[in-house]
Amino acid sequence: MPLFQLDAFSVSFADPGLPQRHRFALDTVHELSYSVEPGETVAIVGESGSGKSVSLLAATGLLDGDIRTRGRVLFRDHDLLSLPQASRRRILGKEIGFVFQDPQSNLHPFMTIGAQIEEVLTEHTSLNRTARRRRVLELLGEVGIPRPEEKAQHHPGHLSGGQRQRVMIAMAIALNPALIIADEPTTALDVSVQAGILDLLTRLQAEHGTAIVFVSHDLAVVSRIADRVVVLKGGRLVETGTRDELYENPREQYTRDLLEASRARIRPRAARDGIRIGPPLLEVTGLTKHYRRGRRTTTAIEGLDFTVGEGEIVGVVGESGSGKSTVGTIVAGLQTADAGSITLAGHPYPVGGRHRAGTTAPHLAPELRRSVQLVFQDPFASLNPRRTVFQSIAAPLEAHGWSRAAVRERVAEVARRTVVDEVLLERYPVALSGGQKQRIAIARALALGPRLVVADEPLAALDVTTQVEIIELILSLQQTLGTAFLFISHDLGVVASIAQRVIVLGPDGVAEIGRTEQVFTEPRSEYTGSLLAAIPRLDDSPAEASR
Amino acid sequence: MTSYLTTRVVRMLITVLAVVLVTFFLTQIAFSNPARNLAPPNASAETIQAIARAYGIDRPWPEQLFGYFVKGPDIQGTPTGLLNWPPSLGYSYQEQRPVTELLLEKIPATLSLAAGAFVLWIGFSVLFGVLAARRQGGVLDKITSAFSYTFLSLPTFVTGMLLIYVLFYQLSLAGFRFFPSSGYVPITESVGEWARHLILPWLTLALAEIAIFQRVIRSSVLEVVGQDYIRTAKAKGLPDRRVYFGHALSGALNPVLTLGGIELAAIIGGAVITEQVFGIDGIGRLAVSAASSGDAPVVIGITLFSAMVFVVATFAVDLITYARSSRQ
Repeated sequence: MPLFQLDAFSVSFADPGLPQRHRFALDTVHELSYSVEPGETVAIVGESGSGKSVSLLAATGLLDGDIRTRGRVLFRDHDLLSLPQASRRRILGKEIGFVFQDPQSNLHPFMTIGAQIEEVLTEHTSLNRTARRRRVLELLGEVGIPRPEEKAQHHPGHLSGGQRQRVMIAMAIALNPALIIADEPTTALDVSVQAGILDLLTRLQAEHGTAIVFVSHDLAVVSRIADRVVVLKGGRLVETGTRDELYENPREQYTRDLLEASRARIRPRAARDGIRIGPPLLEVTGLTKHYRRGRRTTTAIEGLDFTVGEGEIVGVVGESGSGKSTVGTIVAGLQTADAGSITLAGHPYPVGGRHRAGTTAPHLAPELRRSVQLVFQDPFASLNPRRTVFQSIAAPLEAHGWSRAAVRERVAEVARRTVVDEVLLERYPVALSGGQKQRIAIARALALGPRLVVADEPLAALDVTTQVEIIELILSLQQTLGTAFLFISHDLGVVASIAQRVIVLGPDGVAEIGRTEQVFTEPRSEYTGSLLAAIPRLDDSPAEASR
Repeated sequence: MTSYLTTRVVRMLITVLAVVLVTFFLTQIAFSNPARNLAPPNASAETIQAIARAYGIDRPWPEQLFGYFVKGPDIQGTPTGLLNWPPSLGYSYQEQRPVTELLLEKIPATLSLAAGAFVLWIGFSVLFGVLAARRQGGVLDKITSAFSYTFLSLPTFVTGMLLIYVLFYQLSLAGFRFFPSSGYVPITESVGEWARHLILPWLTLALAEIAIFQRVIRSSVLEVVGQDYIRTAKAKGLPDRRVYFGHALSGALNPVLTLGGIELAAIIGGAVITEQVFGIDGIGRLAVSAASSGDAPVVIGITLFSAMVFVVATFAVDLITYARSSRQ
């Protein structure tokens, strides 16, 4: 008998625009069926909007809002949907453990991690206080948190991202559940941390025989961990099969596209691909920035030298805290460096002063302001929801005093360049997809005709296939407009496929700077090597990746 | 942190001093000839002059101001000036007693009023605020919302009168005489009598505060319930009680703390109307009688006291919020 089973399971959200009787007419998840055997790892893959998370949250009663479900969700022989709330609660947390995507937002900020784990034990067992405490420390040790006694007293804010996710896992396995539902558990983490979490999950599974439902958009990660794979699109099942079947002989075109998109991302860009790179446009020497917080000073970046040529794409990679975003905001002119010199096409940047990120930006010469523009990570947050697409793209032009007619013409032109359909110009961001929004953010950055665009993690919030589209857009803009990009990302695969040169920022400064091909094939620094080794790859043979 | 504390304390002192300074000038303008008011109606100019001299109000204002902040002449054997030890707030013309003594006598009543009302209002606001947020748009949400608008629009004296009418007058007519309509019994005399006399005023104040706070807590809990960590709490299989009153409430506390501190300080600084309606001899009543009789030292003294309470309350709230956020 399967441990967990969805049987023709549908979810629909109330659509306030429809008449009362038909409010639930549209299914977000449509007649989905799959099953999970005890001890098995089943991966649910698909792009955002495919219903992979929604189906699991709705199935376990964790989805808020006005929804209706049909079909059955069986856990052992209970139908979770028809179970009274009190009985369902006895299963959640005890027999089904959860690990969510972002451990920062999923842990309570004001409770110690010890208390948050202990709560599970208090709720579901009759252990006394001492026994609970002992078990908490045991769990923290088991998930690889150093010095459990000390860490148990800490709040989540004092832990690193990887440690927080380990705490989430400790919570999930506290009562040796039969099933763990892991919803994109490594998406918010750095590659090297991701590898550790995946290892932990597989180890725990081997030791306790836990079944795992692993939701992910990343086929490379899935190939490492899954026994079987379920592919979803638009709330419907596309295909399902064992990992080897699916990766080697996908039956559906959609699965093939997903696989292709995942492979494409880790192919280093060849040095000679017909793009002519001009003389240095941005010249940075001895860039240094410290942040002071109270009496402690942390060094974000020290003595960094690099150049970006006319029309060149330079990638900046590094893990969280490596200072890559600091470099981006300084080059974009949003904060000043403490020391060093930066010039863009001969115009120097102001250096020194007490400008910090988030406060008033330093004063830049108008030529500089026009020459460098910025694209942010989250297209959902970086477009003003109360402005139409046209108004957003036009804003920088208006700020620089363009006439009405000129603005109209220019917006139409950049929209064409960035393949933003003219129909979209009068829409508000709510009505747009993530990919469309990021195109618009790029269009806005290009409006003033900058020579350099700083793109800070522009793909991190997007799906694999959308990522490929945006990468192609950036490459074509480089080719046709000759715009240079400083492309910041934690994702080595993305950087490899887009940049001509790469700056690798390690935990203690610059690890290496070099041509993409060289950095990715013969890394000179140990750090780069370890980063590369940590990336899950699709080409890993199943035998090598298996446990 | 220490440098933050020092600058903060200095700023607090400056705020209090500024408030006192402004009040001083206001009393100078408003109470034009206090000695005239103190003297009998047919007193001669010499008598008035003598009274003015006795209270030190014949001197030019800079000298009076200096006397207030530093050291003034003794009045009726009482030293005046803030730089004395213990600091003196001057001498009340009306009551013929040192202001400090007068304030210390009235503070317990007002503090009792504020403390009891605070407990009631926080308790009920949390209860109904969280429950209303749990089922947004549900029956309880609608009832509490109607309740809030009713008591927000009713002035305190109307609420007070209504309570007296129903709980004192009508109940007394029915032969049930539990709630007294007015008066105050110090807690040192009898705890039971103290509470019995304060129930109606507590309710009056609390009803008005609950009307605001219930809504504040509801909306700030609503903001939190969409957070991922609430879903985590549910995924752990915790009952709703724990999810909402534990996880959601503790995440939603900051705005509640801020507003709570200010409101509490306002009541300690004198719940003028409630004290008046229920005949409680506290700071609020003292303020009214001092202002109407032109008793400048008492008016300034009360202002100084409430400014201090305000400043300390906001400081305490800031410290708590800081301690909470530094844990994140």
